[in-house]
Amino acid sequence: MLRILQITCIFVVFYGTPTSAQSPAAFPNYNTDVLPILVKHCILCHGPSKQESNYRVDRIANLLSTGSSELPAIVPGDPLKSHLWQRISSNEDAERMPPKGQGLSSDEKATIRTWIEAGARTPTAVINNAKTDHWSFQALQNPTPPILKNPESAINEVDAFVLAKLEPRRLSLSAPADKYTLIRRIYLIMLGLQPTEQEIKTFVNDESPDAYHRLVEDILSSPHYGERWAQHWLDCVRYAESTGYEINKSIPNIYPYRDYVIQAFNADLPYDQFIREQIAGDAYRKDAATGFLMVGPHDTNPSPDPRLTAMQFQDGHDEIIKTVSAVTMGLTLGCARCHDHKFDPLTQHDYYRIQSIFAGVSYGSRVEQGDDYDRMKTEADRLKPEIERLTENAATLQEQTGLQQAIDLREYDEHFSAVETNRIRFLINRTNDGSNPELDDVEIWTVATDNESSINVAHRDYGAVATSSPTAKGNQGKGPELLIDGSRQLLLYFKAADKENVWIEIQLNQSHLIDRITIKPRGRAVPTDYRIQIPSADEGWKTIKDSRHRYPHLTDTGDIKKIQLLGVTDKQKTAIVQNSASLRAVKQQYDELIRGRQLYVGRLHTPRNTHLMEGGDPEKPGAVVGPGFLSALSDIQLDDDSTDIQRRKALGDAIASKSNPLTARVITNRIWQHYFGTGIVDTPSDFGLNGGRPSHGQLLDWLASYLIEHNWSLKQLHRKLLLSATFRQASHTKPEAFSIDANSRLLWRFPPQRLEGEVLRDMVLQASGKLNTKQFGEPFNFFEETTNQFAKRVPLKTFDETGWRRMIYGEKVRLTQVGIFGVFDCPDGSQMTPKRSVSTSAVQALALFNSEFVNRQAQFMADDISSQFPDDTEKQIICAFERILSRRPTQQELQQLVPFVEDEGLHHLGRILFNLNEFVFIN
Amino acid sequence: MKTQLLDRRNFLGQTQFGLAGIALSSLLDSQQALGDGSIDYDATKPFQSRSPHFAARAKNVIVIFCAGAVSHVDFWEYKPELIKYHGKPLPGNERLISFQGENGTLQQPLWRFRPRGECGKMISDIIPHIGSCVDDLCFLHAVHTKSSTHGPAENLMSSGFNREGYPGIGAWVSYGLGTENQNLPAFVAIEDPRGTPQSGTNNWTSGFLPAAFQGTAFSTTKPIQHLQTPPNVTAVENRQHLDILTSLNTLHQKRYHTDTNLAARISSYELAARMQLSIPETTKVDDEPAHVQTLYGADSPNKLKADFARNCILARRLVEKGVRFVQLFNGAYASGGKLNWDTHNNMPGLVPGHAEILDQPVAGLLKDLKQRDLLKETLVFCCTEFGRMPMFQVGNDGRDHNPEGFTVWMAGGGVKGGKSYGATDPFGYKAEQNPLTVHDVHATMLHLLGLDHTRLTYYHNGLQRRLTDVHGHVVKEIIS
Repeated sequence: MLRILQITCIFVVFYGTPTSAQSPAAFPNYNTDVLPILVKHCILCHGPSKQESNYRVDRIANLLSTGSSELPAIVPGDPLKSHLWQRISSNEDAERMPPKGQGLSSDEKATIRTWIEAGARTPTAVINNAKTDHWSFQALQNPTPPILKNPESAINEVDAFVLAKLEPRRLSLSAPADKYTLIRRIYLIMLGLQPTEQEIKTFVNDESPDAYHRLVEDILSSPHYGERWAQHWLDCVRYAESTGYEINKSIPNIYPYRDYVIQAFNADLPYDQFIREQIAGDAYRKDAATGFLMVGPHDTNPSPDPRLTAMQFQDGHDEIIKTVSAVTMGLTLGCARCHDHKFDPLTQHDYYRIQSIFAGVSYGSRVEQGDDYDRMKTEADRLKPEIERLTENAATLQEQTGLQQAIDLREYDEHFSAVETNRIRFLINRTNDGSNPELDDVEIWTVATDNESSINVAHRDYGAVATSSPTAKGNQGKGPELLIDGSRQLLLYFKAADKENVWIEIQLNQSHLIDRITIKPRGRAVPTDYRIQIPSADEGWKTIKDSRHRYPHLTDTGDIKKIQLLGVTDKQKTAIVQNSASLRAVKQQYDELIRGRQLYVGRLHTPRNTHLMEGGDPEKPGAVVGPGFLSALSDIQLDDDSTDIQRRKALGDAIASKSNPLTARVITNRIWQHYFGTGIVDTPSDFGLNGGRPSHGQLLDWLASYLIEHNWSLKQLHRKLLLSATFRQASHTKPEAFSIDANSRLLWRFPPQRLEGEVLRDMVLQASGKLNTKQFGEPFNFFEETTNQFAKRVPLKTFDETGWRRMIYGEKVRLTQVGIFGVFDCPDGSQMTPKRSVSTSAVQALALFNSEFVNRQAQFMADDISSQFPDDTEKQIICAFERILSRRPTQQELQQLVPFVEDEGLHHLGRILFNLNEFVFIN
Repeated sequence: MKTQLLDRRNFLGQTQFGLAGIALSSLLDSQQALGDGSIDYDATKPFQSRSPHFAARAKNVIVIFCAGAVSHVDFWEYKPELIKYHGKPLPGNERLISFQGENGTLQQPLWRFRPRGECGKMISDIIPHIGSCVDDLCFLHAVHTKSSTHGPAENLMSSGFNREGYPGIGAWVSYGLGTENQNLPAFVAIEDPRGTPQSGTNNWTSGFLPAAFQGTAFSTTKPIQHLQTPPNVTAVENRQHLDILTSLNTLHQKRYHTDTNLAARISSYELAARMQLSIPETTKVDDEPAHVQTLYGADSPNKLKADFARNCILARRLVEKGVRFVQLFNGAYASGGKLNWDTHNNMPGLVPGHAEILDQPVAGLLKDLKQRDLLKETLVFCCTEFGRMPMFQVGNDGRDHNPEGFTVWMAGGGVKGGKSYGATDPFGYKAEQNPLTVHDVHATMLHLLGLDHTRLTYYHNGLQRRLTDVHGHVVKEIIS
């Protein structure tokens, strides 16, 4: 609807005011110079009413596309390659556009030509003005906090904005929460942990006026702050440590991204820089940060089917595009993959411009740059002379001994004098690495004649038949026939059941004169000790070639006694073997240093061409699209041949810009949501037309401006929120207020919230005294180890200290719910989860009430407390309440529970307290 | 979004406050006035039975998912041309590259087809028991799908999207209709005795729907987790713990009496206690009389067949007790064709074993449902993620993946029996006559349950999402 309106507006304005009489513009502007010409000459056939050849000039995306032609209409910078220019400048009547009349005036043509030469810039104001009256696209306002009738309950600006919404409805903030509730609340919201008994005591007994301020500062400097807020961020991006899909391969080297996020929050890295680094961390020597681009599920199942591969590429990049746009700007750009966005000012062309930004990124690992790696490279360089010396040694030894060149690990030929035979036998006694021999293919080549070129007769289509000693299991039960199928297959190859005395026999369809055999090993388990034989006259076998005439391959780790070399003295053999061992060792050292620390944060390369896919169909590539930003926001200066890093850096800058109206609003809203359960905008990753409207729009803008003014410091924003009366008020219900605002979105109370599964697990461990607060590093296991990549993971039932770390350090297997706590709506890494669902189910009750984990921790807690307060049931109960509920029991509760604990034991009380609503909710 | 729905439902439940609440809601957010989805349900009782959009033909669904891809040309769709052109290349696609590589020549069906039932439908000899039920079956022979890898194609068949994280069809149906037995889950996933299917829990995930609608996975060989009271707690103690829990929770709730999610948590412990009794009772298929065990083949000496037969009996017991949606898996994960139907190789050797496990138990299920008069209100849907090629792979005696055309079938629940709809081309390669997308199949299933697939929606990341995305047409021709 909006789009049609926009086009109509342009049409009316310009159709009535032809500009052809004017001289050509020296710096043509799309809006004032180019569009009027297009409207005058083209729009009747290529516009809103007709789109001949699927081409229209009034939509920027289409203007730059191919339409039905194979040529792009406009190649920015190159008019001669631009189909549109070819057609309007043609001298042939049949070619020239428009088809009727004399065509464009020479001045008009000059304007178009200059505009294309200058890069065919399309000032996005055209779309801006007409399409984006939506609130979130408007520049950030910095409103003045409202004047209140009754300002007494307001502590800071946040309260002023909140009260301004409450007052007209005759509502007010609730009274301040009691100190027990407040300290539990601030710990859980900010750190995801409970305060200790001592921390509660200190705060509750501190009567000084700045007690709370000091608590806020302590909280903000806690190392657990980063863990708590990183979890929210990881939810948004759907961080996981496996690829997803049927193989769901684990990614053991992506966790440094998780650590990066935690450290960024703890260090209060300015949020704009946090965004820049996650998109182009390699530009800031923060490689781990670009794990952000790798977090989506991606199908790694390899296939020779090009259609499938194209789909996998498009889907994989779609995840990157969706993550970047939704997480940083609250935009559902993923909706524009197949067509222009139906609701928001996002074109399909925008989508592919962003895809082009990431056209130099693939799923995979790269080395982490940095001081460590610089040191490693220097060290590696120091090894180079030694490698050269040993390599020269080897050449000298080869020359001295007269041995032939070593084999190749993937493909090489054995030549011999021509023989006539219908059978060939291979005897294999050893491989380079001592494992069972493997081979892809063996080819036997005839001697070429004048009439016939050399052919491979060891092919099943040529009637050859292969037999062998027993083959290993696997390979779909196939054996030697794989050697003569004429194809190298990734997953199907010959593998012997034995390590030595392996034989392969190839029976040819008839006798052939042959003089060459091509051997295609698989790079590993390569036969290095073998004989090639043909039948001899006495019905035995005669060797026509063997491995002893070749210099041993560098990778041959065989025992010196087993290595056989033809015409070589023992002394020379020792020298060869020792030289190889030294060279191997130093090369391995070199390779490891150069390899560096590999992180799964994106493989980077020259950007591939990006095509606009018609209807999002990977099999219908349209015009080539260069890198750029969203047309509704701003333009970024990028040439089509810009490098990968230039592209991503420019995108990071555009998103993290102060003038981007979305970025600061979106993060401010996310933070607000994690305080009050619902964001000011209740669709935190959708600020578009289909998303929610802000409940406190002015407040959102004020806070977002405050964030930017304070150098994007999130901790500064937290201070403002934590010190507000809105945060510090009680959470009890008030029927009269409930009748007006049941959701508490106007914040007449602090809305109670169900805790996340991760927090529940951490709290149980904290209460039992077993929480291991070790930070960072490799994740701990939630599942039994498995070697079968297809089998689903079996959850571990019990843990020890390594598994009693905070849950954020547990291995995150995509699509696999973690036992017990996963059922509390923990996201499974398949969809971005900017806001978790909060469900209540019997399965949760069963998990928390009956699981071995919870009951074992209840026992640990009971043991710990009983040893502190032996024979004092009352004190034991008080301590259990403080640990689990951050408060002391009431007299009534104590009376009820003392006989129970004396009867059944403290661990059973633990079981009950871990299941209370009061434990599971923040009040 | 989901909490908001929960809260919204809460205040709508409070009738004296309802109007004011709505007024404010629309003040805050005109777009969101309709809430998160099209189904208005009570979050404290998510499984309460709800009325369909229109009169339903089926009340319950049993999906039989044959994981790994069953060969339609060897089982369901008779292609005489394939026999005639055996050993010749597929015309027009002589060197077709598919998932695993190059295809060889056309391969005639590995088993003989013969007419069965009164309708005379040609069915392969490999499944004689199912063949004997053919007068109750409705074949859809021209289904095609979007991916040629198992995971994504399984996702599409189970959730309408080849990507991950979209609600399974069972989750959509329990969201739309609730269920009839409040002591059992609305949606049960029964895994194959050989293991979990390739896409695992994504088949029965609730995706972005409230987690309550997620499928609960258990079978006769794999019990539900945490159903047992801990070993150091007696039944009497357990009851006492529940009582103390409730009394402490009730005290706490006094200050939050309008917050019904607290009440919902309290009642979830009562439901859990009831499930501790009802689930073991339901999974005790050994209680079934001997003739029923025999009908399904649960007494077979083939342990895998007997275990799958017991899962089929469990499926019947679940729908009998009013469980809305049962997803019954036949076949596990990729394993070179050993644990599921993914037979790229050695089809003559591997497929008969799989067919034996499937055949009698599924036929037993159909016959048992029919004799209990449950078939007319239970929709049985037998599917697989895609078909297999009419050719053998180069150098293999197995068929590669074929997403271009394959067969699924339905029975009961308002579909015509003895019916075949659509066809692939004469060789069984591409859907040709009345081709159907997976979305069409889903739309039809929802229709039989009385649900309009365009009206069963839920908001997620910018859109009111549907099971059928933006596609799907009801296949009216197969409805009786």
